[in-house]
Amino acid sequence: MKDFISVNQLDENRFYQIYEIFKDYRERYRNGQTKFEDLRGYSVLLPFFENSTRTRTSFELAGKILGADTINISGSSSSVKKGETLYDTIKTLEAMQSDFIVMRHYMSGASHIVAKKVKSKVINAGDGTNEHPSQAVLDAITILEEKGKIEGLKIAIIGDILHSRVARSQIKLFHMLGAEITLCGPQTMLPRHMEQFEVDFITTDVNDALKDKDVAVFLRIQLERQKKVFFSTLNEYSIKYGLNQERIHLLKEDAIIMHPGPVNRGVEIQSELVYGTRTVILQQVENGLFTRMAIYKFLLNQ
Amino acid sequence: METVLIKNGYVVDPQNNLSEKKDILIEKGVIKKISDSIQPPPYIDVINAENMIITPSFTDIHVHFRDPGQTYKEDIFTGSLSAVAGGYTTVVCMPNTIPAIDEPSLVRYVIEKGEEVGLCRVLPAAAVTKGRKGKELTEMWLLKDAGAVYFTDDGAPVYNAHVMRKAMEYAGSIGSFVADHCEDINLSQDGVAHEGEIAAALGLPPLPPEAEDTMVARDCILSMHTGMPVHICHLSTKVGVEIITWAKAMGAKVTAEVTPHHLYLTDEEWLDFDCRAKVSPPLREHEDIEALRWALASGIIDIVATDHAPHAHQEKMLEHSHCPPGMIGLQFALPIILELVKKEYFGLDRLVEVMSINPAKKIGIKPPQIKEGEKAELTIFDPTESWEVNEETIKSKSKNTPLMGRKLIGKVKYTFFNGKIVYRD
Repeated sequence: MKDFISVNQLDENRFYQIYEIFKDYRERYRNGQTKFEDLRGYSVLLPFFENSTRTRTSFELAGKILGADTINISGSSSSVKKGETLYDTIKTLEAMQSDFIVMRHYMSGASHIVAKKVKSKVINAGDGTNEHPSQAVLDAITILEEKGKIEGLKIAIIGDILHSRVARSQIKLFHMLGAEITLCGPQTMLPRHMEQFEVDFITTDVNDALKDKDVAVFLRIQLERQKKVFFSTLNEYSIKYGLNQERIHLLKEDAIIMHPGPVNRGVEIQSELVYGTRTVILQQVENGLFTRMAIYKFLLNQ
Repeated sequence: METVLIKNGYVVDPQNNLSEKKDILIEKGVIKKISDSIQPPPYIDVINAENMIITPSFTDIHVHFRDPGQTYKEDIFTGSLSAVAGGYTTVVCMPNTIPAIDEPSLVRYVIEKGEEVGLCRVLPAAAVTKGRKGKELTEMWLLKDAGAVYFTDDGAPVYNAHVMRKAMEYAGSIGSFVADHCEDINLSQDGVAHEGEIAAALGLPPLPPEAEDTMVARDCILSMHTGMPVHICHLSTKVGVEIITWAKAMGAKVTAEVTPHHLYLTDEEWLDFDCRAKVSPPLREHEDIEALRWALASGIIDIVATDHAPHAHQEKMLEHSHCPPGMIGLQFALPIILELVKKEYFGLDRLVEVMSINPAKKIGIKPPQIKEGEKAELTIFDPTESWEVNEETIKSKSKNTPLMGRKLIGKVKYTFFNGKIVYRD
């Protein structure tokens, strides 16, 4: 496994290997070791062709803690406008002797295409509406940490499933780890061909979706989708799909509430509840750092 | 003009009830004699066609030769080379060139350049609307007089239904017809791959089949009410097949073509995110392929057309939203349709009908025949020879095809046009 492009590359064994590395780093970090030597002498390039704060910071910081030299590259679409193909951009980056390329791109499959063509280890930090595998791993680890297991848990994923790379990665990973999965969103935001997703329930009724669940994942709504007629208004969405005080009680007593961030306050989650006792949004961010350290190390071990 | 004896070939021409082993003597380009056994006259070339099949040459009513304006992709010369290597001797070039073929001088340009190349008959379709903008009708009658064989804004639909109706009425009244690229561009959005399981799983922007189906239905209904002919380009869905079945039963003058790639490849070509799979309409699912194959066998679909659409290497390297849709096809049609014969969807007679007779009739030219007294216009192919699609075997200037590197079975060995050998493998 040269690259980490898709959760399809993980089996239980590999996932738990990453989890073990995660725990090791976190323990040592908590014991005061804030610098590591594992990536000393390695270079990490972070070309991001799409805006991101937390994912990029998380990967960058993880690399720095491990001793790597990290370089941020804001691609936006500038080189594309110059007529440069993604292939050429990435070959250029590879020629700069990068060991890791952590890339985000607005095109589904971008990192898949790049990984096949370069020697550097490529980590997919989100590609279009395809996958966001490191997010799914950190989410699975967060669930493990909070609930002690994943197998047999009832997990609901709520929101814009159609456009969500987070959902595409989560569904496959959570299923592989033995969870029961419910998907929920407005019909306009559910992909037409759901049969193939190995999910147990699909519903447009969020109250049904949340009932007796151990975990609820709320996905970010991209505001620009409204103009493309995927939903009517944020107001209606927040009323019909948002998490509020009453809906929390539909969940199991000890359920946790997750969001990959950034939250649209008052849309997916009522503002007062964002950092409430049941949400683990900040734990996700913290776990994200150690997860990404673990992913670097895991790839290095291969 | 060739003088040659073709010995021991299996000759198929339903127009002359031929489906048997025959020798064919061609003298000065004209088929002199067809008989069970002809002794070679002295000093004559003999083609040993043992285990080969001989049919009238093929006609492709839907190719893009990109000439004028985008000759870095293809031109009338390289396009003609590709055509004759695929067994074709008549091709109809789409008018979405730069500029669009929307005035008589441009029609003449294509015809005359085709004649200058001289490998095959290169005929133009002209635009339905000026600049293919969908608003004002072109001078269809004058374009027809200049040699345009039909009208289409292919690459784009005639989006406005009123414009389409009037175009159908006018074209029909002058003995021509409109062919439509059926796509509701609002439904297409920014889609790149067929909206099926693959696009859903990979998160590829989806192109729903109803974008095509609703437009096919519209055109069929317009044809029914106006009584005018309409031709559906590159039909790709099982629902489209049902709509055309219904329209034909209602007496509408609807004809339809299907491409080899829609008969052979599915959206699984996208699994590697490779833009060579991008084509419009998109590659669909196994069920669609199956429906299209049976529709071709039963006569619901009339014609095989390649929609040969060359694009340069650098264009196909672009991100899938920027990459232009299309794939080349002239050399792959025969092997793909032969495979359907081998799988017993239909026989060789039907292959000749859908690749040679029907398309020629549709555009108003006399279909080639294997008959004494006719100019030799025939294709000799080996139905069992396996060959690899690669940079060397592709004659087109562009090499954009998801078939790259794969093996196909069935190879054209000779193509005769106007009494001459224009291709020899």
